[in-house]
Amino acid sequence: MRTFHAVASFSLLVCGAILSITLEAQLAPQASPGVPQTDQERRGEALFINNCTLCHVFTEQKLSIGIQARTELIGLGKRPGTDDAALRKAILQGIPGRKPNFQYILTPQEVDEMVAYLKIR
Amino acid sequence: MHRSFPALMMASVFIAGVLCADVPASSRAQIGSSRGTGLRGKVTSSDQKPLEGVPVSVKALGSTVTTSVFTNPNGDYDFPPLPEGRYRIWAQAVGFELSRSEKTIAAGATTQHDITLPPYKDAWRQLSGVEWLESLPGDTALDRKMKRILHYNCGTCHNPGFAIQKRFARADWELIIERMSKIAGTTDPSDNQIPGGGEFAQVMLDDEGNPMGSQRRILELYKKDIVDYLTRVRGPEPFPLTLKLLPRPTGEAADIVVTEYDTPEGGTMGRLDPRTGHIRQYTLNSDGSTSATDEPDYYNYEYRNGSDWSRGMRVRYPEHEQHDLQVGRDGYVYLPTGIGVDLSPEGNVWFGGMSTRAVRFDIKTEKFTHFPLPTGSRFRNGIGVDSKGNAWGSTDAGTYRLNPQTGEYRLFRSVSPLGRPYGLTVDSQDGVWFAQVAIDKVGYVDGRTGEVGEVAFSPIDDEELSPADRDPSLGPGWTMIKPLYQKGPRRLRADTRSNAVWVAHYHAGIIARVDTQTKKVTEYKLPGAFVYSHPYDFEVDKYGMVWFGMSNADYFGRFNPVTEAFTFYPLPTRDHNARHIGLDDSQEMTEVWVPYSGAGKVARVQFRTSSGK
Repeated sequence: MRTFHAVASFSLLVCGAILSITLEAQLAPQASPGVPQTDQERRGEALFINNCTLCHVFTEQKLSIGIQARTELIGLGKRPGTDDAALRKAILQGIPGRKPNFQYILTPQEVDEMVAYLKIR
Repeated sequence: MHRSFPALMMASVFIAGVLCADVPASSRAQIGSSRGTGLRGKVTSSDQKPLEGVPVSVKALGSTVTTSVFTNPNGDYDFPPLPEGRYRIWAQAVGFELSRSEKTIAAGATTQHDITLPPYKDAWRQLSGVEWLESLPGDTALDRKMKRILHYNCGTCHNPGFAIQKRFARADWELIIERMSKIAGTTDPSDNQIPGGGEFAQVMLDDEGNPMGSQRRILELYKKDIVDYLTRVRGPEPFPLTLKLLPRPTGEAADIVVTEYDTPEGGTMGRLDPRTGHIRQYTLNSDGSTSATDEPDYYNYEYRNGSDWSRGMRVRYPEHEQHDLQVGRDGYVYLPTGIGVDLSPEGNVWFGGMSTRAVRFDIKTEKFTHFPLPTGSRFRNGIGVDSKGNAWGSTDAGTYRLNPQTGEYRLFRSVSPLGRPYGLTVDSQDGVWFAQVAIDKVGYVDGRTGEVGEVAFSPIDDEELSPADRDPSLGPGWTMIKPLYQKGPRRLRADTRSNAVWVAHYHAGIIARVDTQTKKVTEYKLPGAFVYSHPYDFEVDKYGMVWFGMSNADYFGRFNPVTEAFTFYPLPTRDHNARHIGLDDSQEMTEVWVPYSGAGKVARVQFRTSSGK
């Protein structure tokens, strides 16, 4: 029982730390996004601005009403496991109840452009 | 010849040279309107038909200045003389592909450049704001109602076309509308207050148990209908939209030269030299000092600034927003931050709308002086200066008057509370007028007595409004979302040569004249598709012509109060979202200036025919 309590207490401590880090990540100033260098990346940036900023560019207003996403997607391209296929899936399929999908709007070329931008954002 | 004659000649030439020196005020006319040698050509379709009313634009490589002209009935265009250099040239029209090329232009030489525009199968991508609303189905009463609902409730932070150009499944439209409702709620007065006074009889809660204010209540009424409609016409299943395009400009409306100047990021205010496009950027530092740079940062390219119409419409906030501008009396054009700007009798620039202080920029010393408001107060969307040099600014409770000698503010409370004061103007008798956008009134402060009054506008009442639309318990909305019976007076401008104040009914697509003496209201509905244009602000020139900007139409308008005729002039940038307009009538021909709230540019328009007067 004492072991269980110790494990449970440690788990709660770890969860609390993770939650604290997550909230801090939401509230702390984000790093600046990467600047597009190629024409494809600029086109992708324009698409990002037009479709993604409601949730993925943070403001105090959005935080206060709970509509901003978990991340501004800065540095996304550098995260392990983030490949083009994963980015395309996120754009085209969304997350039901949380993130719209853009399958009816974006052409394949536009998805490529957005992926190119997200990889350097 | 007398020996003193050559000396006299030289003296005369010298004196003439001094008198004719290039002072900024006289230089404004030198570029735009002349014809002659330069870049010219013909624009045709791929089956060789001439295309009238097509904008042709040029921008020198590395420049921040774009010049555009429009083709005549023969498809011909010609530019005024352009500085020598290598230029990008492009032309487009809805239904035709954007054509791009580069050309070297030599000073004094004629350069012929003909353009063929192939058809563009995705013309829907190029639609302007009013064309989107016109193109939505409207054969049934319900469909016509939905167009009005979208126009009234989806066009403040972005124009309605920004949303309509997208397609989502039902669940995603529901998600988006719910987020829009929450955003609107952050600007509502406190949850149970009715704009204009009083409290709602019943608290209305959202799905999360949060009370909803004035705007959220209206959106709640229409939410299901909006989702149903958007899922039908902009959902997973393709919907056969019939594109209803504005006719391309013709005649005097097409005989203009538009010069667009890119605007930089950051700073407190820019000072634009129209002769060169150079902007000196000033910053009011936190210690009250002023700094300046002649090399501000620009971040503006074709995919985000509306120069390629096929990129569609944009949400304006991420784009460098030049909301207002002020044509100075010194030859420069001033680009302040915030909403609201005016000149003092000395020509100094006052601004500071939407902030906690009024700011004066001294054009001689090039320094800012700021005047903080009482703690807890904030200006709203209007600044004006009276003939005595007092600065006025709209605020939640009415309007403040600032005495710049003493720094003292005096509050003049509006007759009706919670009216959401917005634009402000000073009339020919030093009367101060402020729009109350939430309650369809304008307030005024009598210039002689200081007494406060108000003028009310009658509600919209047509056969297509249902009892539910007219339900007074619905509440009057605020700035973003309004019931269909309201008009939404947003900004206004006094004609200082007459007894008129012109008021823009942003939501209803109506401009109104209020007589400052009799308080009589005369209203003029914008014709055709321009009823969806969101008229915004005015200037009145010395000929009595009323010029106005429209945030949802890529045009600006001229109203002749004598003939009651409207003329609409095109601008070459898609979705400029312009919310202000400026005027230079220091010359014989009026010049109009339009700052773009959503495209990182300001435009100067010169008229090649006498339509400028």
